[in-house]
Amino acid sequence: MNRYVKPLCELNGTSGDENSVREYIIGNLGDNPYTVDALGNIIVEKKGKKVPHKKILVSAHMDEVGFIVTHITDDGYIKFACVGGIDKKVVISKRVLVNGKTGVVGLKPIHLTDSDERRNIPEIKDMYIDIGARDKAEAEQYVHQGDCIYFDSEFVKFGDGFVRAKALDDRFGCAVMLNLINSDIEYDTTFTFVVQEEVGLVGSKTASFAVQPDVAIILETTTANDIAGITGADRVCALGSGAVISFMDGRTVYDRELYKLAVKTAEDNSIPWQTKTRIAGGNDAGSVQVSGKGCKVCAVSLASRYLHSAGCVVKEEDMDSIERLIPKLICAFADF
Amino acid sequence: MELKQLLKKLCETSAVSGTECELTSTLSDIVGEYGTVTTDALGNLTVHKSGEGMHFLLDAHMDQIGLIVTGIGKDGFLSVDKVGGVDLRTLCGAEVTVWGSEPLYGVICSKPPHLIESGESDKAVKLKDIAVDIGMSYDEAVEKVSLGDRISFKNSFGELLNGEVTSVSVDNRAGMCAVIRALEILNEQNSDSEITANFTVQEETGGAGAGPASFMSGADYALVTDVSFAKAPGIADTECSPMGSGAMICYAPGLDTQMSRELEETAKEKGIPHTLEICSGSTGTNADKILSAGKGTKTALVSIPIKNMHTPVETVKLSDIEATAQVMANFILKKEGKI
Repeated sequence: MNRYVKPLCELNGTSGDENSVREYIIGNLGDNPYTVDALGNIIVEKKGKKVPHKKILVSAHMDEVGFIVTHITDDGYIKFACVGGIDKKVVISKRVLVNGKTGVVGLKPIHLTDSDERRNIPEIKDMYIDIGARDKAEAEQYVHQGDCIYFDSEFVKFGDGFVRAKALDDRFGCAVMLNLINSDIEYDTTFTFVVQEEVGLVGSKTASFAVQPDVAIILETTTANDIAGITGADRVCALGSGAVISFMDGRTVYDRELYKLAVKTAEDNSIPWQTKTRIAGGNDAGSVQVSGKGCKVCAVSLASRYLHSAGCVVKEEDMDSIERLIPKLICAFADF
Repeated sequence: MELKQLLKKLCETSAVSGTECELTSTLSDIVGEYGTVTTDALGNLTVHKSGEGMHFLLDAHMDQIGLIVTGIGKDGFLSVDKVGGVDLRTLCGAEVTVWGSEPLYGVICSKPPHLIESGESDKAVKLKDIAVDIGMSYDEAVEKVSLGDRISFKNSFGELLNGEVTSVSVDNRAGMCAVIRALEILNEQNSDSEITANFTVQEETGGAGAGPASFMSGADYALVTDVSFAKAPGIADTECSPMGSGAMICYAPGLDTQMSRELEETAKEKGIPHTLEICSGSTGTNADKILSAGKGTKTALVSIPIKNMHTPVETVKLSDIEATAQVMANFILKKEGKI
């Protein structure tokens, strides 16, 4: 597996709090020149063996979903909101970290609930995090409004080549780019590690404006729903079926010719690929496509179960497919 | 062993109801110094110390809630049923260990928000829709998993502020700690009574273990310890005691009122933090089984307040375990006339 994946996933960085991720990436850029823009995006100009006809951008986002402290109660409990889209079902009874302190998302014991309470999931605004503080004053010694909160979750390999980790969305994309930056590539390529994707595709908008690419490849993770009882198109995409190349999602209609070229490149190189069978989700392609003078976009994603929870589940062979595909796409798109 | 280390050690060994063997073996090593250790047909573990005069029974259940494998799907996902009072609201995205031919990591399936229909996230998942992902195909899964294998929530022992710790199975490893600590205090204080400590199986699935184990002991007095409700948002003050408020001494119709009074007096005299817990019927603990097992036994219940009961993040304060142990041990020492 790409050696950057595990350390990157173990870092904490919700949207707007990407510092530790940015520092790690900058520390692993080698001698390649880079700039950091006003929002905190990292822009890396990587020299290749040749100059492409088209200016090529490869982009991935540094931020992950998480939570933010909104209020501390008189009893010392932390009230919070989600940063990015998180389903409230996966929040209940989870361990979290806030400023390095362990906390738990509390729940009224089932023994004391009525039938309505047992059947319904409480709203996020009605949940609370308990760090064991006696009262507000004690909690405030450790936690402040606006601090970020993270799922406390370990990187695990399990089953037949599966991996579960938080923040694979989209540290996997960052890891693929770091590998390319630290290897010999065919064509000059610009890489952007961007902020705040999860809160509205913000960082990629300014980064791609600065880069002004002709063609952009967005490296992402996407929703695999190949779980028990789900059949046909509702599976969206599946683990072990290769790199996901999108023709359309909730934010972007991808350039048809570029899509076809990406598919042909995968097939010509015998790299497993698939596409999504449902128009859902969205990624930075949506903002890169329309930034500045606009550009043609292509999204290549890692199929991932349980996105935006305490742990995404992915398959190592799909990671390998994407690692193999991206350098081939850079070559194919250079003359597009 | 220090209380926190003891609790951690006990929490780290899984014992979903009916599969308490591994915990029994961990426990034998710990309690061997306090008496003769035996196990019975159901798997209950008993520590017995001979003595003069009265015979006291201490009881704490060993088992924990969890899941049980009811099917292996063609896609390799496991279908499950509940073992004990599992809260369906806590399941989505939970990490688990499947106790197959080897321990297998798994995660309970959930849907990403991108694919959730409006209103869908408001309802707790139904039991029939719960599946465990162990990252295997059907052929791999059937090699390692059998129907009836237990599934425990992944252990995650962690420390909060003020001596509070969080883990899976604090219910009832905390109670087991209190009994072990009470045995230690009685040993230190040279208690000369006959003592039986029962660590019992299958409380979470109806209390099968406690009755037979107490029947065998024939004790004069039984002191049962389990966990109860600590104060937390949404819980009425009348239903709980604050974290850190010590042992919860129970008064209930079936319990021996005189024993409850003496426990309360002991706590007052020794300055042991305590509150009272009042039940109007059965207690929902092993006490209900023990008091009517065999020819019947005078029984009292002392509970430890915990938060988030029956979730993977049960939380207890160590000082409440200590207070519970102190109340039980000093009750016995007082009966012996040592204090």
